[in-house]
Amino acid sequence: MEVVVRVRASLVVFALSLFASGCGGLSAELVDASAALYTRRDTDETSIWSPRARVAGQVEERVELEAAYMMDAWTSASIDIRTSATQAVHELRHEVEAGAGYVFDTATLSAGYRYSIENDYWSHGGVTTLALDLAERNTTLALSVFGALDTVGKEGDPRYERPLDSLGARFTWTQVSSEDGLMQLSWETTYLNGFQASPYRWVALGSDELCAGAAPYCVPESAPDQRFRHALGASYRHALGARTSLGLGYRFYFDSWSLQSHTLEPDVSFRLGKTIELKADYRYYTQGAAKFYRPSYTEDADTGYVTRDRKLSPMYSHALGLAYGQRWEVTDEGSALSLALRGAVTTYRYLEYVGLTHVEALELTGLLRFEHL
Amino acid sequence: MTMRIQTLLGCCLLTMCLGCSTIAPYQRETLSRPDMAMDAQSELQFGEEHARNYREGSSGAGRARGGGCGCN
Repeated sequence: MEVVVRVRASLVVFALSLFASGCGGLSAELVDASAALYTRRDTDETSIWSPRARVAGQVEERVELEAAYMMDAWTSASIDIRTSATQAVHELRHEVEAGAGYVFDTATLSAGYRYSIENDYWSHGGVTTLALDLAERNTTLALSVFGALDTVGKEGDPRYERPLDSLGARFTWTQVSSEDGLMQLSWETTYLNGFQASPYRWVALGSDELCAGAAPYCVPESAPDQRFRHALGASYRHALGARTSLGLGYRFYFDSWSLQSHTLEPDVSFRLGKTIELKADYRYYTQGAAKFYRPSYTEDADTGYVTRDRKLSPMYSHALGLAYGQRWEVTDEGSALSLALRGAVTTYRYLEYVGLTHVEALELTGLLRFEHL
Repeated sequence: MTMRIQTLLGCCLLTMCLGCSTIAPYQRETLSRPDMAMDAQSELQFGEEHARNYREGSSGAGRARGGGCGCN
């Protein structure tokens, strides 16, 4: 029954995207419609099904419009839930996005809005981006400003509401370095103010036991209201001959909670003929702990805040992904249909987290896309 | 910390400046290949990126959020 519902949801999403591609602006000069389905299952007893549909079009010579819908259907009996001594949880999240852009001669100005809703979390988000093409389009500078107004709720308590606001900016510099090389630098900073803990997690004080009936004294998780987050990124892409390209990306992150991380992402792409593309990528991620994170807390909790959030604990992960893409020309004018399939395996290692040392995950994604020129 | 960040930034900027050159449009056949796009597979990896937001302390800055309990 559950599978039937998921398949129906996916078909509805795909039908909507195809409908939108046909009607998205009667004077549309270009329509790009896609439907995707993502699924994830891991050894921490969590599974996710997430269909997504997106349609974009150029309705006038210089005006671009875009809309997308996504749903997350997830089931979990993870360590977080078992620690709270509750049964497996099933939840749905819906997200809609809409955006518009205006193309000048050497600049593009765009804006977008996003709304996300689930039974215990609501989020409004907006972003504005200005991109400039310089030096005969060898250099592209882009500045985005984004913000969100979120409300954190709690299942079973309709009066529970905690705000979380964020404001940030991202600057990207993309540079053509040669006839077959591209470089990119990025800087991103975000300020968050509001409730950033979980209303469901409890933390044991003065005990190494978990708060599932074993620890004698437990308190709700707490975290500072304010957080400044910063990320610096650098990436390079280079073509090797007519069929192969290599990429390498690095990201350094640090924030006001003293959490730091490093991410390294090499990849290689192969083109088989004119229509088939294969890609293999690897991702290494490592992070330290937030300054108030402890695997276990003393009774007086001298850190000021207490958390059982594994995202704030020291950890590392390895991920390996493989993707296959194929494209078919369906009209002489250049309209095309493309299919892409991707699989990834990830292993997370938790170095100081009571009750969980590792999680292995399998992720699969399918994407069908139609471009009408 | 600040010194390390400045050094990292300096190295990146120097590398990019040394690599700057003007490539004419007719010389960009290779750069226009789909596999040479910096975000070539972003649409195919939307789910993976979203899932990472709940599992890594540093990801998701500026991206869509949700999931108050952070369980998934």
